[in-house]
Amino acid sequence: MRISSDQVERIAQLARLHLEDDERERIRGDLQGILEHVGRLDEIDVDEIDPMHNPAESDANVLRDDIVVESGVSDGFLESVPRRDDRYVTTPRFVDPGSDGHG
Amino acid sequence: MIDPGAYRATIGLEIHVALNTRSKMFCGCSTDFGAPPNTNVCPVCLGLPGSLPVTNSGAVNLGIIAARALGSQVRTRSHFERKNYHYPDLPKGYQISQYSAPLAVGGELVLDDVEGEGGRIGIIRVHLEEDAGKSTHSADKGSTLLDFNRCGVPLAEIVTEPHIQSPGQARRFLEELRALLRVVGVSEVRMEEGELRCDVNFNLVRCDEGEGPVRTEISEVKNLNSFRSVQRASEYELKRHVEAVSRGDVLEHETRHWDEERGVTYSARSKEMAHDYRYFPDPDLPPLVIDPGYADHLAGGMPEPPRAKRIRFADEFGLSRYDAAVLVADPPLADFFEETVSHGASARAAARWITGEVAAHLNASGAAISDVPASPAHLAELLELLEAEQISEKVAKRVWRDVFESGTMPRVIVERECLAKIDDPEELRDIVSAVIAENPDAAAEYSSGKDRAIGYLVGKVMEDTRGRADPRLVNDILRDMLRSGS
Repeated sequence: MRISSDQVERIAQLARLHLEDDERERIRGDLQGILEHVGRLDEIDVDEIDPMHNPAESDANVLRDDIVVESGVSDGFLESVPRRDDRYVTTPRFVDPGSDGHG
Repeated sequence: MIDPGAYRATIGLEIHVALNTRSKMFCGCSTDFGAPPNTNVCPVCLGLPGSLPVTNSGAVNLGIIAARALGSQVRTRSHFERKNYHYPDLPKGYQISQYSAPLAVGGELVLDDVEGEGGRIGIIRVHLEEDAGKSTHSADKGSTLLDFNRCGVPLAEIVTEPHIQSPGQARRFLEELRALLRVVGVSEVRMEEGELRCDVNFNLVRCDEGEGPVRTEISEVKNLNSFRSVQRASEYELKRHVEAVSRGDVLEHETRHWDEERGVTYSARSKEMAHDYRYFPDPDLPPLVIDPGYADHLAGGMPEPPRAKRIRFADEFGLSRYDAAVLVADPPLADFFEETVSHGASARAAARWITGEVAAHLNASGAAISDVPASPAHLAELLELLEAEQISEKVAKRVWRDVFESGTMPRVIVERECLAKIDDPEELRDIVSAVIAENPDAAAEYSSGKDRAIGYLVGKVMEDTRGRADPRLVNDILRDMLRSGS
């Protein structure tokens, strides 16, 4: 499988990264190498094996009780953010309501 | 020419409901609404490095109950996945959701056949996920304000089959779903707190072999937070799709938003960056393995669903569909009704009083039925007095007002205030002759043929007896006495 420069650009956009041309080419090479390495797994016949979705498969149902625990980090969190307005964290105004909520 | 009448609306809904838990989905932060911004936050829901989520068993239980209430099959194995997208109110850069192995699949919600909007609406899936934070866009300051209190609040997402055939039916579905989820305790579904949000997937499908496209492309209208806006947005889409088909225009599959003020949907225009969520299993969260016996156990403790209760109220108590629907829509009132009947009251009289006087007093006072001193035993006793014709309807209403405020038993009030009906004709005759003597003009009018003067005189007698007289008897005695000129 060959990864194209356009695919790298698309992945960069999804990750909200800006890449210069030379960076894009370098990352394309890196990704290509990673895919080839991982691609070796294709040589194994897994038809008879159930997919494993989680490395902790044997530890199903690690749950906690529905109990409120105050973290105590609220004020420290607000002091550490770069921009805020009273108790709100602020960012430059973003307008695309498209991503608000859930697709 | 393409006939738009040959098409029917096809609507599927994706509903997000906030689960009724104390703490968040994957951390111990409170889910309380209305706390000062960024109070209920911790390293897990803020997505700080090194923090690890742990699933809230209460949310899983409520998810199972929601699924079973909808007749969905709870899967023995399900797991959480990461839905990756960047947005400022999602600090981790992904939402933990379920995708390839949801909590439950299948099911249906049946709508009663009212105004042709009945039907069985299939459910595709019910899954668990976490909410995002809340962003407020301030126009004047040129910035966006972020509050992460909501971030990580447990949600159930319910996805329907595209079985809904009209905007009105979409609304009916949501009303029935809300009633069901409230009754089984899954969610309070407080709309004003954003506890239910809905995406509408809309298109038109041709019903015959005629001209024109087999179907229009689907519009996905996102994030509607009221039943009214779901209905209006669907009506708008219906019109837009019908017009496109009539003109021969081809619509695109797109995401749209609803503008409440202008009453229109508009394209999100984010095609060039079509969503690509790159789901993958969340390695931080072990899978859920739910024993069918455990799901049965939870479902076994579930209160009766609203539709079953409406049917039972109609069958068992002989209530009209309307009265059954009004009572069942308010579960505490429905309980009040059943208890009143169990105290021996007639079901129809109890239903009439509860949907009438009882509801009116509650509305006027803004109190909940559980907070007032009046109990089903009070109402049953009042209805018994009424049934035995010991008090008039008018007096009964007056007594109820007192009961409602004081919690005194109706019989005590009736005796203390001498409110028992006057049905002794001799006693009534004395009162009537006094009224005739006091109102000679009205009496003369009646005698000269103006029949309606009798109403005035009956009113006077009722007034003098504080509603205790039987108006029919009064009427008879009045006519009798005026005719005989006594």
